[in-house]
Amino acid sequence: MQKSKGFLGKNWLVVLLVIVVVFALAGCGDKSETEVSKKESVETTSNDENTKNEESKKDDYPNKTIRFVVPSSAGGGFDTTTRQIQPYFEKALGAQFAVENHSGGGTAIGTKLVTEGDGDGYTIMITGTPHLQFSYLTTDVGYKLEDLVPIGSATFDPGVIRVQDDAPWKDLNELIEYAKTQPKGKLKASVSFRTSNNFLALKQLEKATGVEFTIVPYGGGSEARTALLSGEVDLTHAGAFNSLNIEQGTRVIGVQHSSNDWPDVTDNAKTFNEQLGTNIPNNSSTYGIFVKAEVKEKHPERYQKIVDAYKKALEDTAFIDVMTKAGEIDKIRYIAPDEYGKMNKDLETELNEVKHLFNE
Amino acid sequence: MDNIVSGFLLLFTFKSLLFLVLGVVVGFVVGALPGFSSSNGVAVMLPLTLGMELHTALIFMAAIYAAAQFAGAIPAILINAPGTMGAAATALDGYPMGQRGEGGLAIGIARMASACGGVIGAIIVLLVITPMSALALKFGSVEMFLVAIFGLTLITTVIGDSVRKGLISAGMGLLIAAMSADPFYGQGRFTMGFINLYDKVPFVPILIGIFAITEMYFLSKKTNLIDKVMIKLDNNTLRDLIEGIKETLKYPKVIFRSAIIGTVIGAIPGTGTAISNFISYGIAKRSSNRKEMFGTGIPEGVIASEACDSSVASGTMIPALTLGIPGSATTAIMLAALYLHGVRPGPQVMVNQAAEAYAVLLAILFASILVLPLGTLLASPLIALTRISTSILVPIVLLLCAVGAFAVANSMFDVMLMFIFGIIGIIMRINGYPVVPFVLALILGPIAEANFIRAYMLSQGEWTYFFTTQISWILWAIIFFGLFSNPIKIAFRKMRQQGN
Amino acid sequence: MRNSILNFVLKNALFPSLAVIFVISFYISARDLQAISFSYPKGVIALLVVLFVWTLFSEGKKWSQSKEELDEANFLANKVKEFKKPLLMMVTFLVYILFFDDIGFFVTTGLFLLFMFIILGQRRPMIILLNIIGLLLLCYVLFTVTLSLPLPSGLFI
Repeated sequence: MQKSKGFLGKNWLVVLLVIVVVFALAGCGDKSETEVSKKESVETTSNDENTKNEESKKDDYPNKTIRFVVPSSAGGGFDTTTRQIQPYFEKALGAQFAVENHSGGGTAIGTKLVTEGDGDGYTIMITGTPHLQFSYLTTDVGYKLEDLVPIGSATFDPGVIRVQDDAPWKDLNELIEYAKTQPKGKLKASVSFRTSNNFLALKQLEKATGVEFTIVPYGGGSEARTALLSGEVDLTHAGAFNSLNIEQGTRVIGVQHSSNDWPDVTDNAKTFNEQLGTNIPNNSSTYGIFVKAEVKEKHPERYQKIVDAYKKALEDTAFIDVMTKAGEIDKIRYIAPDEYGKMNKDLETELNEVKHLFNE
Repeated sequence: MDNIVSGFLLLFTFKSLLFLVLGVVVGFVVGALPGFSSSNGVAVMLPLTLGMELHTALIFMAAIYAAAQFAGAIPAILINAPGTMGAAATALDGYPMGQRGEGGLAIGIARMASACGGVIGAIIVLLVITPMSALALKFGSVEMFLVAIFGLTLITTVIGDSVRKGLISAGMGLLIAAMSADPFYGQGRFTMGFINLYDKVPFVPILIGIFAITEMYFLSKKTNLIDKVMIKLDNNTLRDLIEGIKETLKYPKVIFRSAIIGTVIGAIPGTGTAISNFISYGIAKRSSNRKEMFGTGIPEGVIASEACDSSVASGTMIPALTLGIPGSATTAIMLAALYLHGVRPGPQVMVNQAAEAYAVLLAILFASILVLPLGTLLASPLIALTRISTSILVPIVLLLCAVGAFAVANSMFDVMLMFIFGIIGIIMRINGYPVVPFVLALILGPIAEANFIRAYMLSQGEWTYFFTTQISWILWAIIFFGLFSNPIKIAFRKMRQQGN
Repeated sequence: MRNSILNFVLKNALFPSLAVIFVISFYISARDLQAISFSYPKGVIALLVVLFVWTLFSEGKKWSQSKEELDEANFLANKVKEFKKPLLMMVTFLVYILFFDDIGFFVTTGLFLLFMFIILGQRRPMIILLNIIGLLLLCYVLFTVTLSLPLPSGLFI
C-alpha cells in the first residue's frame, strides 16, 4: 500500500505555526469577547426551550452574546454607523454584540435573516428607511413592514441636490429655469439606484416643475457621487451627510425638507419648496435599529430593555463627544419607537402611491 | 516631500513597525486561506483598531492588505485553489509549475514579483498621487465600458485549443452573470427566486467551486498531487528564495509593465480590480516571444499576474485617500476606520491627515519588502502540503473551501453555489471546455452591461458620445490593435510570401 | 458498431447539453421583462444559439466518425467503478454542506473528515484520529476565535 504521510504526522509544524500566530493575535485583542461568545453559544439551544419558564420567574435577559445583523458589507454605511454606536449600546444593554455582515439583495438578505430567525431578543438589526420599504415593495422577499418593530432611529439624512462648484446655477431655481429652456432630458442627474429615495425625489421634482432630466442609476451612492465629481452628470440627488465626501468640488443648491436644519453641511442652501414655490414632500433616509416583531409580542419586557438601553446609548456623553469630533453629530437623530413606527407606516403608504414611477 | 518625511516619522516608531509586522502575518494567514482575502482580514480587525491611534490602525490594515495580495498566490499555486480573481491568473502558470514539483520555486517567484510590484506601485503612488487621482476621475461610464470590453477581448488569449468551446464557455459566463437584477430597472432576471442573486451573482464561491472543488475531484483519483518521479526530495527554502529572486529579475520588463498596469487599474474606482491581473497576464502573453508556453508553467506568467496584484493595492489607495472613494472592498473598510476615528474621508484627508496618508503608502511599500523574509518563513511549511497524500490533502482542502465560501457573506447559499459550480467545473473539464473564459466573462459581463447602459443613457442617442474623450480614443485603439494585430501580421506575411 | 450514445454524451456533450437547457429556461423566464432589462441577455443568448448549432454539427460529425466498440451493458458498471472514489467523495461533500447548517459546523466537520479519510483510502486509525482532532482545533482557533466567523452551530456545539 502507498505509504502516506499524515498531516499531523509529519507536518504538525504547520498547525503549530498557525496556532502560535493566531494566539499571538488573539492575545492582542478581544480575548474576553470571544470567550463570552464561546461559552454562551453552548447555552443557546437550552435557553430557547426554557424561555417561557424563565420569563415567568425572573428574566435575566440579556445573558448571552447578541447577534447584531448588518445588511451590508463591512465598511458600508450601515456597518460604519453600527460600529460607531456599538460600544455604547453594548454598555447600556450589558451584553456583547457579535456583528454579522449579511449583504446582498439590496438589504433583503440580512432583513430576511432577522424576520425568519428567533424572536427571543437575541437578534438585533440595523437597516434604513426607505431601504426597508423598497426591499419588499419592489421584489418578492417574503417579509413585510409588520414583521419588524423599531427600537429607535439612529440617523436622519435629508435629501439634497448637489452640483459642481463651477456650475452656472446659483441655486435650484436657476437650474430649473435653465432646464426649462433646454430640450427635455438635456440635464443629466445621477442617483444610486432606481429604487431609491433619490430617484423618487427627482421624479417628484420633475412632476412639480414640468422639466425632465435624464436620470441615470449608478448602482451605488459612491458611484453616483463620483459621476458628479468627474462631470459626467450635471447634478446628483443624495443624502446631505452621505455626500459630504464630495463637499470639495461640489455644492448643495437645494434641500428637500420642510426647513433646512443643517445649514453647516448644506452650504446654507434653501429648501426646494422655498425656492420653487412648489409642494414637494420631504425626502430623507433614516437608519434605525429593529428587532423581529415577535420580540415585542412575546417578550415585552425584553423589548423595553432594548429600547431603553438604545436611548441611553445615544445619550451617552462619550458617544456624543466622538460624533461631535467627527462632525457627524447633526446626523444623529433619535426618534422614539412608536413615532418611528408610524413614520415607517406612512412612508410605506406614500411609496405605494408612487410605486408606478419606478417602472415608467 | 515634507509629508513623506512626516509619514516616515509616523511609520518608524516601535509600535507602528510592530503592527506592520503583525499585519503582514495576519494578511498572510487570511490570504493563504482559499476564499478569504484581505477584506476579510481587515474587516475582522476593524473592531480591534478602534483602540489604536489612527495611523497605527491604518498601517496595520495596509500591511494586511499588501501581504494578503501575495498570500493569495499560495493556494493558487499549490492546489489550484485561487480565492480571488487575481490569484486565478497566477494559477494559470503557477499550478502547472506546482504539479511539476516546482511549487517552491513558483512561490519564490510570486513572492519576489509581489515584492517588486508592491514597491513599484507604492513609489508611483507616493510620487504622483494627485495627478493620478485626476486621471482616475477621467474614467467615466464610456471608459469603464471600454476597459471591460478590452478585458473581454483578452478571452482570446486564454481561449484554449478550440475557439468554439472557449466561446461557449465565455457565453455561459456572460449569461450566468446576468442572473441578477438588471442595472437599470433593478428587475430580477432568472434569479429563480433567490434574493442572494439579486445584487450580483456571488463571484468568489463560483471561483472556488470551479477551480478548487473541480481540482480536488480529479486529484482524489491520484494518490499524490505531484507525480512521484518529479518530486525533488529536498525541500530547500533558502534555495527557493534565491532562485525565485533570480528568476524574477530576469524579466524586469514584465515586472515594470505589470506594476504600472496594476497601479493604474487599481486607481480607477469601480472597475473590477479583479481583472487587472488578467489584463496584465494577457498583455504579457501577447507581447512575449514564447506565447505558446504561457499556461504550461513559466515564470513570466506568474510574474505578470503577481507583480500586478500587489501594485493594485497601492493603486486603490489613490481614490480612497484623495477622494474618499473606495476602489476595493478592503479600502472601503479602511475608509470606515477613518470614520470611526473621527475623520471624514474625502479630499481634505490629504491636507489634514497628510502624514497618516503617506504613512499608509509607506506601510504598503515596507510591507511589500517584508513579504520577502516573512513570506519565506511562513510559506515554506505550506509547500509541504503538496507532498502529503491526497487522502489527507483533499478533505482538508474541501473543508477549507466550504468555510471559505461561507465566509464571503456568512451565507450557506454561497456554499451550495460553490458545490454546484464545482460539479459544473468537473463536467466542463471532462468535456474539454476551458474555465478561464467562463470566469473572466462572469466578472466582465456585468461591468460591461451596466456601464454600457449608463453610457447609452448619457449619450442621449448620440453615438459619438462613445468617442468624445482622449482616453476613450486610446482605449478604442488598444482594443482594435489587440484584436487585429495578429490577423494583420499574418496577412502581411502572406502578402510578402506571395510577392516573393 | 458505433460508440454508445451515453458514453459519447458524457465525454463530449454533457456541458453543451446542460448549457442548452439553461439558456432555454433563461429565455423563457426572462422574455417578459422590459426591453432594457432583457437586451443584454438576449444578445448573449443569440450568440450562444449560433455556437450551439455549430456544436451540434461538429459533435455530430465526431460521433458519426467514432468507431470505438463498446459493450453497452457493462459500460455503466465500468464507469461507476472507475469513478467510485471521486463520486462518493462528492456525495459526501454534498451531504456535509447540506447538514452543516442544521447540525452545526464542528460535529459535521468531524464526521465529514472521518468519512472522507476512509473513502480516500487512508487506513491508519491513528493518523485519521490525529488529523480530525488537529483540524477541528485548527478550525476552532482560526475561524471561531480569530476570524470570529458566525459558523452555524446546532446540536451539541
